[in-house]
Amino acid sequence: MPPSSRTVRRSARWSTVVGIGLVAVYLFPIYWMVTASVKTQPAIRAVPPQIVPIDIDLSSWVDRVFGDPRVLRYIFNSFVVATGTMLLTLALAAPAAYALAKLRLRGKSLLMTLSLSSLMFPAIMLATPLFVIFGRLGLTDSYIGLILADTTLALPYAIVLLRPTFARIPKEFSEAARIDGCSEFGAFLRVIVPLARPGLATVAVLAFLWGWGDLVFALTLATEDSMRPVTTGLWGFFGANTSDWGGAMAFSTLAMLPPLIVFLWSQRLVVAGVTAGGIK
Amino acid sequence: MKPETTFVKHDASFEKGTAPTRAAVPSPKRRGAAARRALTPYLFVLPALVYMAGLLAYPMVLNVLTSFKDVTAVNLLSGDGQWVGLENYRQALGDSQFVDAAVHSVVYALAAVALQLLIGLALALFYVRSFPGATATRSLYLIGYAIPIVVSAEVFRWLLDGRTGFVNWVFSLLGLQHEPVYWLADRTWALPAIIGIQVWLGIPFAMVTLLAGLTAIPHSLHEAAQIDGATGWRRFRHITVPLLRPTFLAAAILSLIFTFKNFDLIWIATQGGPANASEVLPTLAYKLVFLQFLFGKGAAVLNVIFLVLLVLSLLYLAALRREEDHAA
Repeated sequence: MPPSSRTVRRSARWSTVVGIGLVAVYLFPIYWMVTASVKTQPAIRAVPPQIVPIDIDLSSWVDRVFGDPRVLRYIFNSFVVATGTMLLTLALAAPAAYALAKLRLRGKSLLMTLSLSSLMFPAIMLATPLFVIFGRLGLTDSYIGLILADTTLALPYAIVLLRPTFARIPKEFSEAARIDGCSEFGAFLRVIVPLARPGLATVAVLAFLWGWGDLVFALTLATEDSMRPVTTGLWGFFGANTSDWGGAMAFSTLAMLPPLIVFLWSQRLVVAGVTAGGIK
Repeated sequence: MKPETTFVKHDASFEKGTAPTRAAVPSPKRRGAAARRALTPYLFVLPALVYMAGLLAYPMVLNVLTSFKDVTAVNLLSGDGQWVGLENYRQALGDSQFVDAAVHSVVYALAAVALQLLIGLALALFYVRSFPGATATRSLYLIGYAIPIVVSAEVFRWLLDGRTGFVNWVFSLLGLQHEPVYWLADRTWALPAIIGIQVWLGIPFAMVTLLAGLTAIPHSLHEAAQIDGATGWRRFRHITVPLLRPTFLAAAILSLIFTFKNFDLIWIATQGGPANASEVLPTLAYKLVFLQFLFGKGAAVLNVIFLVLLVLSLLYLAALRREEDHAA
């Protein structure tokens, strides 16, 4: 016998409650971090813990985070590196993926194999040789060096993800543009790229997130304090021996905010990217 | 795979059809234009190809060469170390440190991936049903994926702290523990604690991938089975399990690759300590190269990591191909 519509509705309501409860448990560490950043020192150490902060105290932010001019520098560095990684990844991956999907050329399988096999390259494995190569070229402790290095993480994935995106665009679009007098590249830029916007946006968001979160290249290629991004900046401030959890949580919250905002603003794209196998 | 083959064939027949007219009017100007047209696709891939050759392929070759050389801080940048054959591999692999790290790596990757797939699957099965707020709540898990691992690791360092950590309070409340445990500074508990954090990091990917797999199963199959009187468990066993298997396999291998090569989490949480209790191959390689300047030995360890990942990737590609064959 089929269940009555009222039981269906009641079970749906319970599902909503459980669904919210589960995600709340999962995200508790984030909540704990953000609230700790505005707690007083005794509240941070309180047993039993203060689940909801009673007194708001911004001293962790004022003294430890914004009291130090280096922090803003780290944030700025991360923005430059993450944005640069995003742009370079798009500029390299989009034409290559388009050519792989739509144009006649030899060696397609070579490029695809190269992309697929570099998906698994750990950053740590590239860090040593890149340290040597960039050392010779004078690219250590530079934005260009970090951007070039971080793009190694995103580019292979971007090519693999974008190829089917371009393959789905009917070729009548580029043909029409060619008849109107566009060059192959002009047709690609003016007609194809706008049509592929969702795929390109997914790649852009993931490349930004990965560039922002990189630790390995920051650790090995940016040893000068003024070139550090937030990841190594955080580690340098609140390393292995810290007990200043208020400061550490405030800094962590700050380092989390840009990627969190990007994520909340582009959730659907991130879901699409992750579903296509995008894993850091 | 399928649409592409038809596309190429279609294009070839088009070429054949126009070939005679082209041959009939052999003007050098036109031939130049045709050559330029044939060259254009290569210009599209050239930047990416140059980049990948220089910054992915060449570094890999350099790594392999370094692993057969005696490279120290003195001759690192000049690149003229002595050839030593397999000496670096002998030293690296014979080291008890290496054996420990390899064991930790395998235990850590297998345990974390098994747990995160199990939890991810349970969550996916829960959130795939339609209820008010299902879509909104399920994508919030990806916050754990979007934020830097450094940040998550830093938060867990505090949650697992012995003095003011939240986990100790919960466990003592539940009566599971009477004395405070310094999870990440304890030789017994450091690796299990790292596995726990990794599960948290891996749940979003597992869940979202499996959700996509579950959504792709046609609803009509479940309905038909329901009409035939199949119970929930039997529908899960005979419809969901076989149809989800390719996605599950792909998610498992990708998670294994990601977990096995993860350096960030372990470095921030424990740096491989205490006393190598949570040392894994990536942190060992980092220490050999960047702290002890044993570049050859470090490169040998990195190439072992590479071999493991290569095998996993080949498995992934095989799984992908099977999936495509099924789809075709």
